[in-house]
Order: sequence, then structure tokens, then C-alpha cells
Amino acid sequence: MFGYRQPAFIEKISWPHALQASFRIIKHTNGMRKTFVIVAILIAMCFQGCIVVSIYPFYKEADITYNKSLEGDWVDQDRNNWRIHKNPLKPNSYELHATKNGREATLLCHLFKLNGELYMDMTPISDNTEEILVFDLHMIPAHSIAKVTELTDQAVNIKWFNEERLRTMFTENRIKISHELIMDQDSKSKDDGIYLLTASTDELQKFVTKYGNDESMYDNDLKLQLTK
Amino acid sequence: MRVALRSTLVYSLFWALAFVVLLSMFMTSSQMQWIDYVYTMIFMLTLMAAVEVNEGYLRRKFLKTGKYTLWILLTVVNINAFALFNHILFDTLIDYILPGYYFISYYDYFDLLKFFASFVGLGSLIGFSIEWFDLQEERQKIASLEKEKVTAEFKALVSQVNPHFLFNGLTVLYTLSLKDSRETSSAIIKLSDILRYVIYRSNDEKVSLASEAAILKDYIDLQRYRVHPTTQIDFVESFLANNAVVAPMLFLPLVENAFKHGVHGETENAFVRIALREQEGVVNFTIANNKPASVKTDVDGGIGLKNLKERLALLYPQRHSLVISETEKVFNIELQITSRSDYLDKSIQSNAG
Repeated sequence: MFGYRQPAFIEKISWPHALQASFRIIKHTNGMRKTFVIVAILIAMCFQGCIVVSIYPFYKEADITYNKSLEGDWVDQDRNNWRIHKNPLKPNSYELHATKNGREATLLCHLFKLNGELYMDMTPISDNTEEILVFDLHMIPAHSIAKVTELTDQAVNIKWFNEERLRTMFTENRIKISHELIMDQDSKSKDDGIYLLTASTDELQKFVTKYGNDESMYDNDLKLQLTK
Repeated sequence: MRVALRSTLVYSLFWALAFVVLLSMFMTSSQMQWIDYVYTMIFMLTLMAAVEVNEGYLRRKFLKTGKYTLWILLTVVNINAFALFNHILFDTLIDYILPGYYFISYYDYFDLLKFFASFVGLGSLIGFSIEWFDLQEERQKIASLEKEKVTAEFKALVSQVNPHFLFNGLTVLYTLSLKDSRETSSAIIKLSDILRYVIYRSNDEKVSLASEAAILKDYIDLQRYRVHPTTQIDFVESFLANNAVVAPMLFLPLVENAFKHGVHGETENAFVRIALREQEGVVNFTIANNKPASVKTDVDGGIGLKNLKERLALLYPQRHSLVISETEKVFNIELQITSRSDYLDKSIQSNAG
């Protein structure tokens, strides 16, 4: 999992600027980590605030569920457009296209159930394969998790885990989960670092199952309310 | 080292090592975190409890009393119980024990079983090892006590030889003095030499076979003063190894016995034939003397022979044979000693003579 503090609103980040920032970080990190940094930036471009991301997916094949109600064209609380449809290549998965100010980010989504609760695992996919092949070859999808609190034909409500809370717990040594703190060379404190969860899917699921109903684990500012 | 102290030290070392190994296994990132120490310590406490139950109770209560099946069964139960407890502890109880901390049971039940089985097994091995060392120490103590006991018994027997020999020697001198013999002074010197040997060498663990032969010759020379001039006395010695050694004062009681009861001063045509031979660590001593019809021989009793038998049993257990036989006219003793382990001793050369 991988936590990234979004540097600015999506409209303030141009693609060249984002890549430039990521390459600056890449310069000081090892090969595997480079890809996560890039993925984190892509995900961060889609959402306000901070998200929690992981190397390993939060779901197993057996946990996946599919609900046709999620498909369709949606509008979020900030009037941005979201188009969700079935992914033609991976069964029981969705392709989510978020458009904001004419720019689009694409995510691969899986709905899955843990302990009776519905969650969504998201990971970015790129549609720029023809243009920047070398860039895509370095991509390893990082996963984020969000809890689906409502899913009907007319409304979808999703809330993300609170990255700030996770960061505090790591800083105060109150949570034990496999992770790495990625620090840029220019970083002055751990607050500037990026927490990347490296726990296995089993371990991630145990945490989600145990603490998934704890409201303090969610970020009230990081909600997605979709309507048709 | 005291048993309890050794046990405490060994187990402390084991758990210190275990903590380091477990900590490195439980690290959640490339850098050691305080939470890793907390988790490792709590995890290890459950392991320690399982090992303590096994070592402190089950093994003492059931294994040492020979209830092996029950011990194995309860050990398996113990391992399962603590693996389950560990799972429940980190899954649920930890939230009450350490509120504000976020732990899960990172290992499934079967992985935990492997952990607990390994540690209980290692604990048992350490327990067995400590017990083995204790047992060896106890055996050494017993062996040492046995040796002390044997030495004490041996010294007690030797202390009986000295006055016995002195008594016989004085009898010789008494006989010579009655005859007002000029040889009395020479006999006193001989007796003095023998006494010196008996006093200073009889407490040695080993003496050279040559010095034993020399003392026999001195004794025979002394006895010649009291026997009939026609008495035939033969002494043959043959040693392949010049530095062969043997326990002191083994043969003298037999020679004494032959002169005292066989030759007996007034007997005509009396004889004593003595041979002391050594070959490749086997010492053969034979002595034959005439058997006067009027005198009861000392076959089974008498201080000398009885003393010799006890000493042989102590010094050469399973490594000697003492055969006493007699015909109508001849009393014969054959003593064979096998002392391969110690029959050569260069150091004895400097002490001999």
C-alpha cells in the first residue's frame, strides 16, 4: 500500500509537471519503488486529499463481487464526470474513467466483500501505451481501498481510508503492518515521506476486517458521492 | 556450577537469542521500529509460557515418572493451546491490553503451531541437555566418591600388611637372637630395607615389578636365617618390560605364607619355589611349597591371604585370577594379573630402588 499526499488540485498539475516531479523522486529511489511513485501520482491526480495504497491488492479472487448498478455515467459532488463500465479484459471488474477539466484518469476497479462489508479496490491503468511505451513498462499498479457505503442504480457513496491517520499511527509506532517509508532526498522529515504498504493480501484483509468498521479510520474529506 | 543457576543461564541465553531472531523475522519495514519490539516481546512471552509449561510441569510430572504417552499427548495439547491463545491474543485481547495500538494475528493457526512446536521442541532439547550434563556431573561425583572409598579401603588393608609383616620379621630376628647368631646384624639390615620399602612404597599406587622382585629377594634372604639349611629355595624372575608396574605388596603375603606354614623352620626337605614373570602386560606369580602334614595351611583364612584377596578385588577387578591348589604334599598358588592399561610407566623408573 502506498500513501501519497496530493500536492495540489488536479487543475494545478500539468502532465509534464507531474512526470517531472515523479522523475525527481525516481532519481533517488530504487527500481521497484519508481513505479509506485508514478502510480501514486496518477491516483492522486484523481482525488483530493491523501489515499492509502498498497503493492498487493486488497482482494482475493474469491472475495470479488459484481454489481451491474455501478455501471453508467455518473456525476460527483464537484460536478466532475465519471464513466464506469465493465472491463472487457478482466472478468468481474470495472473500468472507471474520471474526467476533470478535460483531463481523464482511468482506473481498474474491483468490488469485493470482506466480513459482510463492501469495498472497492482501485488501481490505475493507462491508455497512453502507444505514446509512452517505456513509461508504461515501468508501471506496476498500486492498489487503493475504499469502503462502499451505498450502491444503488441512482447513487454511489464511497469513502477512503484516512491516510493521515495511518501516517500518525506509523509515526507514533502504534500500528504494525509491513510497509516502507519512501523519502525523497530533499525531504526534511518523515512527514514528507510516502508510506507504501508492503503487507500481503492476507495481512491487509485481516486489518480491513478488524478495523474496517472503525469510523475514525476513514477520511471525511475523502468521499466520493456519485449520482446519475 | 549449581544446576538451577546453569539452567537459568542457558535459558536466558536461549531466549535472548530467540528475541533477536524473532525480532528480525517480525520487522515490518527495512528499519527496526519500536512497535516491532513490542510485538516481538508479547509474542515471545506466549512462547515462553508454552515452553515453561512443558519444561517446568509436564516433563517433570509425566516424563520423569515414565508416563511417556501422556507426556507426548499433553505436549501436543500444550502446543495447540498456546498457538490458539496467541492467535486470540493478537486477534482480540490485544485491543484491551494495549488500547490505541493496532495489531492483528499475523500468522494463521498452522503457522503458529509450527512456531510453538519448534520452540517447545528446542526447549525440550535444552532441558534434556541440561539434565544430561547434570547426570554426567553426578556420575563424576559418584565415581570420585567410589574412588575415594576404594582408596580408603586400600589404605586400610595396606596398614594391616605393615604390622603383619613386621611381626613376621621380628619373629625371624627373635629366632636368630636365640641362636646368638652373628648374622643377626645383617638380618636387621635386611629387615630395615624391607621395612623402608613397606613404609615408603606400600602407599604408592604402582611400583615397578623389579622393585617388588627385589623386596621378595630381601625377604627370602631374611627367611633363610630361620629355615633348615637343607631347605630348597628357588626364586626365578623374568620381565620382558623393564618398566612394568604393579600394585605394591601383592606377592609378599604369599611368600610369607609359604615360609610360615610350609617351610616352618624345623621341617627337613622343605622347599619353596617362586617364579615371577611378566610378558606383554600379564604378570604371573607362582609359588609352591611343601605341605607338612601336621600343619594346617592357610588356604582360605589368615590375615595375609584374606587381605590379598580383598586388595586384588579392589585393584584388579575382573583382571586377575588367584588359584590356590594343594596336593597331599604340595601347596600351590598361582596369581595372574592383567594390567595392560598401566603396566608400562616410565616415571616409575625414577622412583624405583
